[in-house]
Amino acid sequence: MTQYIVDLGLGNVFAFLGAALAFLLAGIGSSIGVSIAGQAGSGVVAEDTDKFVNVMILEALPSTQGIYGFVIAFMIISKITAAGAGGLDIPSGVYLLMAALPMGIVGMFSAIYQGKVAAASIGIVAKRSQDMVKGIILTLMVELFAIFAILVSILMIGRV
Amino acid sequence: MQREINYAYAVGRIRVAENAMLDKNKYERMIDQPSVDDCLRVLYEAGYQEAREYEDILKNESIKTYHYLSQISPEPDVFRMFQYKNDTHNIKVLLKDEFSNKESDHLLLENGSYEVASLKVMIRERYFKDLPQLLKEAILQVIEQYSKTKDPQIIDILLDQAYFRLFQSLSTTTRNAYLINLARIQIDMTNISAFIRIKSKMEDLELLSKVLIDGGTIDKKEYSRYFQEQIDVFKEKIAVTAYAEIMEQSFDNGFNITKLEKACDNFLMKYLRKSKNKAFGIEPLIGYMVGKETEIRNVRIILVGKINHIDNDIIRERLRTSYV
Repeated sequence: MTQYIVDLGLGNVFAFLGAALAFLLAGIGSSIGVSIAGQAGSGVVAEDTDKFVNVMILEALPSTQGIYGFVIAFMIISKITAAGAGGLDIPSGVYLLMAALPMGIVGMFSAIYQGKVAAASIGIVAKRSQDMVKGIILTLMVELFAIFAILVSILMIGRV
Repeated sequence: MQREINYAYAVGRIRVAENAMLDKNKYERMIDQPSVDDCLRVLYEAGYQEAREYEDILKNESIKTYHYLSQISPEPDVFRMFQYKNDTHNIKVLLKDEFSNKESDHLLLENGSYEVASLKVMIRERYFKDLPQLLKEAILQVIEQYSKTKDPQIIDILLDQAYFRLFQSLSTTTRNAYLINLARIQIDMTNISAFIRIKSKMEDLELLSKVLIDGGTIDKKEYSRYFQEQIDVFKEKIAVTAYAEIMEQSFDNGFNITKLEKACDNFLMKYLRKSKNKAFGIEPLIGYMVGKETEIRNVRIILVGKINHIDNDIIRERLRTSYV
């Protein structure tokens, strides 16, 4: 029985699931976050085209979680490739699945919430363009947790 | 939350639009101008459309505001409940005109949800199918009661009642706590004003109980109870509610109606300004709308003051707190 499962390459299945989740969740979060900020931004630009650059910078900030998710997915896939023909054993596969979770889940939520802060900060830009940096700093506070998430995920992948 | 986020675009536009609103400095600049024409120049700089009569400038600005808000808002119908106020005013004017056989078209407001011309037809033809049920019933009641009593007061009383009931029922259907609260505040302020007005004119309790509106945070019975007492007892009662400052401001250095009206306007403005910086939701839009109405009222105060050569300090004193 055990031999049968190992033959199936179930370790690889778990690892692939992890790679998919890391990018899926973080990517969904980023697209929601960017769209929230984008709606606020397009409102501002509709009234005042000159603010386009400032708005664009703020709007782009929640997209980083998607990039981090991509990095984690890429690292997990390269682990699978490195395992060669025999595939990963089941414990390694499950470890990689768990390693994907911090990035996927924290990435998703932080991107959505960051999008809301970005939208509010676009409100600052609408009032005073010169205060854009303050808005960026406030928005980046949320980023910190996505960065922690990717670090934890990388550390966990490193143990496999 | 999703419902609030739908407002992200509209709030973004409002943020920029707020920049063009008149603030205290711009009012000061207008007041300091030597002539009415110079005042108007300041207005044009702020984005008001030029017109020959100053009333037209203000009217256009007000129409523009409603149009703009219903264009950008994901729930444009909400603004209709505010426009019903102007419709109610127009209906009152038209009914009074009909009963007394005169014509006072200059009192009609253009920025209602119904065109003035079609309202006129409705009243003349007694065709109220298109009106909200509450307004329709009120008009029929007015017509019936007026033919018996010939008392013009009931026009105002019944239609105001109907308007507030309509506003409250519409705000309840939006299921938006902010709007529901706004309706309550307006009812409370109207009731408090009515109480003080009737009390100071030494009129009777019967009139008060007709005028009072249901649905405020202070129960109607309370007013009737305090009506028999000295006004100070009522003041103490209000002092423990959120409306304490209305009483303080309107009784500061002796009471008069103008002060009371200003205190009510400022109180409402304070409520609206609390949610001014929300990034999502309908609050900034409502704030902008009422803020713009207040602005137009302030501009009218300044222009009328300038035309009649009223002292700058008196103009300043009459101005309402601005939204921005």
